[in-house]
Amino acid sequence: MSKNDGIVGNGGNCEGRVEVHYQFPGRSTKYYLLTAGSGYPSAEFRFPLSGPDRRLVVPEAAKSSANPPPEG
Amino acid sequence: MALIREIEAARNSRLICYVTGDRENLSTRIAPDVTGVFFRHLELIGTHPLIDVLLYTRGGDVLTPWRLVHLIREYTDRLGVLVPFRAYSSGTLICLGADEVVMGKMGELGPIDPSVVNAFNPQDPTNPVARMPVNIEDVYSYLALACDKAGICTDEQLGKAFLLLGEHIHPLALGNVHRNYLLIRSLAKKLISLHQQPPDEASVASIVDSLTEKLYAHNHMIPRREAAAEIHLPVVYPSEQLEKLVWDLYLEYARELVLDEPFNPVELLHDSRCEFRVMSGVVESTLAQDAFVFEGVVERQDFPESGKINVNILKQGWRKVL
Repeated sequence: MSKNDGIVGNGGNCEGRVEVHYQFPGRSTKYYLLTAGSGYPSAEFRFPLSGPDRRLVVPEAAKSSANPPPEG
Repeated sequence: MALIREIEAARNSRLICYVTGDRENLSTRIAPDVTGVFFRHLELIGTHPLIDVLLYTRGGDVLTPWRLVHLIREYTDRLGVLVPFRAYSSGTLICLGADEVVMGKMGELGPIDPSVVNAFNPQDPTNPVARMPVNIEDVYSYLALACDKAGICTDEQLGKAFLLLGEHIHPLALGNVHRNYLLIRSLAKKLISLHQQPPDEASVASIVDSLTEKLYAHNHMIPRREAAAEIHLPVVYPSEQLEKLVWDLYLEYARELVLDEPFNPVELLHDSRCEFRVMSGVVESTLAQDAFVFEGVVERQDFPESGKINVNILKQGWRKVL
């Protein structure tokens, strides 16, 4: 998961104006591995020791107040 | 521990705190493996006229509350649940099994309309290994919509609507939905029946209907006024002093579990490989403490893609701390 919520100035200084690019975290759905126990980490993390029958990857909408501008 | 003792003194109870962390990327949920952890705490506490559970959770397995409430009631006649903030979904089921639900101003319950997932659920179009959860009430809402709004009410028409649904959702996934539809209602009724003074049958039916299908959104957050006045749950408003103690204890857990910051393994990596051990859930009383711990390895991989980070969880589970 990338976390690029910083402000990147590209140095395009022109008569005192600085062009600023905002980079927001992606809108993509988050995925979770559902196992038999209490653990519920992101599917981006692997469990080498647990069998495939004990897991199910479940997508979940990320809940955040952030409302990034439309992409494109 | 000091805050737990103060709350116990204020309530004249014994307190067990149960927090399932909702830290981004490394959260925990209510699941059957916590039952043994509770048993250890209860054995140390012994029997007491009032046992309280301080609960913070976004939910989890719907069968665990039934087992957990029964287990706690082996040690007490009266069960209280303290809700400083979130007690959603199966957390709300635990509250249904309590004689009193102590909710502060920030206390929130949630609907008990779970989404179910099994191997037959529809595939996520953007990820072939993932299965889309199906919300139980959505399936029943579709059939209600067909009749109430589209006028598709005859047996033949409803049969066609059902067949159409079966083309998109595997019949065994639909069977699982129906089983859980019945299960959640049955569990809710049975949990309320465990109260010292259970409400009459009509009130039980009204509570169950409200929490399963009358809130219309799984994300609906139920504040204490709605829980008490509209849903008629046994909600107790704490004194200012008790509310502060309970909230301060929640804040301690939130700080300890770093709930407001995503778990970002990249931040741990100063070399090419690093082991980590992170706590993501707590069960605590004055006599014992258990933590749900994830242990793993973060590695930087430079081949075939440069700078790729791999995270392997090697162990996870409840660990005895005290």
